[in-house]
Amino acid sequence: MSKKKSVPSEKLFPLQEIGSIAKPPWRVKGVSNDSRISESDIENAELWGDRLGVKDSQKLIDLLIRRSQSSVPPTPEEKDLIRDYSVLYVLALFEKMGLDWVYSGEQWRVEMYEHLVRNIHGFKLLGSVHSFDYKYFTKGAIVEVPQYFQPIHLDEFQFVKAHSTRGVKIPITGPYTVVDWSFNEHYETLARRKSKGKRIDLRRTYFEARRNFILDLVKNALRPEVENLIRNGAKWIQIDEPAITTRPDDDEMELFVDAINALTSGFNNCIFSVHNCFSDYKLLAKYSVELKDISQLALEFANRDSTDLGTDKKSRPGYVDLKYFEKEGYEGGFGLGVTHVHDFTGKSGNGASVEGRNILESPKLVRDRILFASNLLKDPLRISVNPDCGLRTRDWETTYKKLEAMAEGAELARSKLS
Amino acid sequence: MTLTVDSTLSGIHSRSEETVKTSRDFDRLRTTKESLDEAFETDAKNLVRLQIESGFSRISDGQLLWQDFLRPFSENLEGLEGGADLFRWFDTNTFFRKPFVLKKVKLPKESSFIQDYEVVSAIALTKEAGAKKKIAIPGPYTLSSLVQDEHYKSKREELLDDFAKIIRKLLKNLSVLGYESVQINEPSLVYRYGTSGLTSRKELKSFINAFEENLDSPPMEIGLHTYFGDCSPILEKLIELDGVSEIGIDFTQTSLDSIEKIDFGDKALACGCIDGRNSLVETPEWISDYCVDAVRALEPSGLVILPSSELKYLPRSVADEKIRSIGKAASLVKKRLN
Repeated sequence: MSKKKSVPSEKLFPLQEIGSIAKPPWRVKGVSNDSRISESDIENAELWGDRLGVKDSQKLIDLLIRRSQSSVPPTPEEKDLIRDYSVLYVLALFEKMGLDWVYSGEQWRVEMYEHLVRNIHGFKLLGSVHSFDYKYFTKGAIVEVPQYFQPIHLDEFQFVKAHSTRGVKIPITGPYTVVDWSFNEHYETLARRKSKGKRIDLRRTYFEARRNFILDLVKNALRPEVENLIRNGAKWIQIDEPAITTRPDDDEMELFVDAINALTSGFNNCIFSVHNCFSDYKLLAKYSVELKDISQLALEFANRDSTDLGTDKKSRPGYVDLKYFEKEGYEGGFGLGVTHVHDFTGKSGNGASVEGRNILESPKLVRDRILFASNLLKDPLRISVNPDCGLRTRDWETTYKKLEAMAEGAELARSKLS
Repeated sequence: MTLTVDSTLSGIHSRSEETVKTSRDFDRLRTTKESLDEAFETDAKNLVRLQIESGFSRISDGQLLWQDFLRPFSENLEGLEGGADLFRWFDTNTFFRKPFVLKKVKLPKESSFIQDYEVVSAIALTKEAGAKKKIAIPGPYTLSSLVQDEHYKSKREELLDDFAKIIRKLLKNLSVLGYESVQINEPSLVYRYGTSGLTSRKELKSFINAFEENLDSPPMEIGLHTYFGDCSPILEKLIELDGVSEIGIDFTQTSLDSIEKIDFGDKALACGCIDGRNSLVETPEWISDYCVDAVRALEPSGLVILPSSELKYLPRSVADEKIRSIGKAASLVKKRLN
């Protein structure tokens, strides 16, 4: 394993967000041609603007009032202003909570997959695919060799950089996830063509096509994007890879490792991390040491943990998986997920409370999770603190409470170790 | 001797963009249950008509009302409780709600629950067209492997056996409902066979026992379909099963070379060479070539052309294109083999 660049921090247990935050109702309706801003949307913007001390929020309120009285669709300029304010609200939230590394809450993105593939030549969005119940996602196919044709995240990055005093960590969707969530028409066609006239082994052509797809995607599109971000001052890029370990085979894991190494090699002025959640960490740990330029793995642990207080193994079953990484010799940092991000249906222990479908972790529970992990890793400097994943499925009130508990819990853990 | 060539779907079909929109609106309280029902009805009728036009011999309503492949069971079987937690459906990017087993599993007294998940008006078109009414259901092994068992614990074989008993009774009910063709889907049997935690060699034996004891004389034609994994390690055992007239193979996961020496006996081959998970639409000629090669290599008693898996993983327009291609391929294969 190569020597890793460490995650920069001036304090123990730096705080970071992972990804998306729920779009406020005025953000959703404000950029839609079909929806009308309501009184409650305006109240929402006023409430959070005041609570977070968002600078010049009255400008947004005035616009929303005008929009609520108008029957014509918003202009592109109005839509842009609403999108800008949604990022300013997210930044104000993160800064108020004391986060050290921030981003836009992905307010400018439709969704993590669609945002990327819409901006890379060679993809074609085909339509809706069932996810579960009445939930669907848009899926695309690669129909030509992928090509970079315009910056994808630069405007967003520059906007955040200009409006925050904190460190900026840019999340981008990783190559393995893009390939896993796309249909592979172009490379499958090429692979099948090679077998013309012979009996075809579809499993083999499938994998060959997948490998060619991911390597071209990195070389032709994602690496140019990373180069461009770094050229413009990016210091930390988080590669989101929710799909890894979905196919728990060695050749698939090697494909992931090869793609990440190809994407991140040779950059001296930027830190890279990988975020993965709801996954098989024993398997990921096995390959973690082969990720040559990754300084941090930001992982979900709270979801698999108990909500009782305590720093022993029995109280902290969710964090025991860290041992797999230690056993494999991984030396990088961890983004330690300390708050659950989805609906909670069980009974809460003495370290949390339940409100509706949310579990609200107490600062003491967060503290105990951090202390247990610090003890297991025997090096608290390797730990940054974050929610399990993006908090976009939680409302803002819940997000506020979770981030507040996270920050207070980290402070309690610092006090304990100082 | 003439080889019978059938064509059919493998299970849940994808929903149309109109149904997607209406069901999303319903979920967000923007439209009524009546609008939702109407959308599903139109959708299923269009799908049945497409299967008829494409010459399918076994037709389903696409099982469009099934929210996931276990849901009708988790919502209706005694002893099962629908879970709230979502779990990944094998290695796809779709999810199911994992049911809990809280006590002995049984078919309820009101056991025609499948009716509640049918689009009746669409299925009626099947009868008018003279095609067989078909449905795909999860098999006992897949059911037992995907539930969260809080009751049987170490008696996993008993759970498997109870699910086989349920399927036996369910087949009788399906026969009363007019189903002439039932495909029992068993992805868990082959998904990462022997390594995934879902399957083990010992459990295969339990499955064979449960199947033979309960499903040796079903009231209609039964296909046993395996997918999402390589079936070559267990194919010979499946071919020996009484009561099953055809064995389904996912050829995106199983290489024909690896099974060509296996004697197919009196079983038909359900040839899943149409990739249910990729939008690349196979041409009728390509499907026909693959099927003819498979028939010559395996010498089955009959051929069923079908997708490797459910087509719910594809957008509707693509899934429908695959149906058209299968229909044309079936005609080509009939000409070439007979």
